[in-house]
Amino acid sequence: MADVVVVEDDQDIAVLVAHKLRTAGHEVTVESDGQAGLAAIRQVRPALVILDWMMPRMNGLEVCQAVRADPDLAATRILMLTAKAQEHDLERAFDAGADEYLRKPFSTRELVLRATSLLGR
Amino acid sequence: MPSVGVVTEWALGLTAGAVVLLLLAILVVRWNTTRRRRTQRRRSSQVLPLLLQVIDGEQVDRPRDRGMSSALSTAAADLTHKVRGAERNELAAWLTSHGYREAALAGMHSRRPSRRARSLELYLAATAGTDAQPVAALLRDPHPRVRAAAARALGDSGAASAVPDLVAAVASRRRTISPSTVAMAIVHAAPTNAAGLQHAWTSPDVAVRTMAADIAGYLGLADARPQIEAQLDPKDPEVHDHAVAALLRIGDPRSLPALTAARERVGRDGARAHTLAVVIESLRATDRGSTP
Repeated sequence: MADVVVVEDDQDIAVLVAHKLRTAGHEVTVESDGQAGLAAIRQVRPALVILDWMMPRMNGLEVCQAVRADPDLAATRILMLTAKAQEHDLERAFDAGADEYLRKPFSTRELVLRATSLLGR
Repeated sequence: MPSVGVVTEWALGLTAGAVVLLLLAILVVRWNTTRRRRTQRRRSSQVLPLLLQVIDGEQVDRPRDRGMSSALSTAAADLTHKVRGAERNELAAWLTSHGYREAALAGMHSRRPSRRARSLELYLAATAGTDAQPVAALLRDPHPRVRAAAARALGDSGAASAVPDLVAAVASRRRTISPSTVAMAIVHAAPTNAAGLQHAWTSPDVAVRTMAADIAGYLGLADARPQIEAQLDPKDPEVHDHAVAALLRIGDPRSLPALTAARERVGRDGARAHTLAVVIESLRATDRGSTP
């Protein structure tokens, strides 16, 4: 079991992802914008962050960079979840410090598998 | 005969009455809209747990309450576009086995455009996007809102088989839908090859060929390379520029002869020649990188 923070502004997706991660035995915190998400990440210090890219107030890429700039969060893994599908988007996500990337629409089974794999690294 | 003063009084009284009635009407509409939105939000929060149960393969009955049933079908249609794989199939199977698919098919023939638009989304959700044909037919619907909803829903559901219908809708002489709506839909549908764009390349309409080049470039459809290269005609400067951008995105050095010939045609000066030079250099660098 691990602490996971889900930062996603689409309520349906946030609820679905949280439900699947809880079913897999994780402790999940959900936030719906980048700023609130970053605050939750700093407070919870989760093992894993599921991060949407396009969000109000602070986008996922900025949150990702802020997490990577914080030495206290060095062990936190980040999985980006986004509709952006181009190669250079992928490069930008990994440059910002993402560990894994999943394109929307996605399979929650695949997401849980990737999350489990990240948590095992 | 009434005096001017009396007429003015009547006019002022009537105007004041009309203003009061208008304000009352605005208040009633706002109150009604707020109440409806609140009900929708409450129902949405109630149906989401049911959908999670459906996705988990649990037994969930269709709600008896019409409002809840409608909210459930709307939420299911929304969610279906956001997931894929087993979850999507579970949702589609549940919608079909609980009569939503049949209801959606009937709704697509409704006299009300708003119902047709809602029903087509539900139909695609209930078929997991695999039976796009009845929805593609609505790209020729008399109402623009239904046509746009059909295009969007086909794209969101990933119905790559509907790409030729989308192209036909935008390329027809009596264009029924805008190229930008179709382009977005095809990008969302994300076909893995350019076969569906076939009729766009020979369209006399510049907007259609430009759209096809943009889509092929954005999705990196390498099999469209010869058709894009054929658009490098300086007589159609707009298509020409979009074709160059698409070839850069695809990044195949085999486009170098066509791009070099295009640069010779446009001459050495000007923004177009400069862009071509940059793209040619980029593809040469790719070529050098891939040559052992």
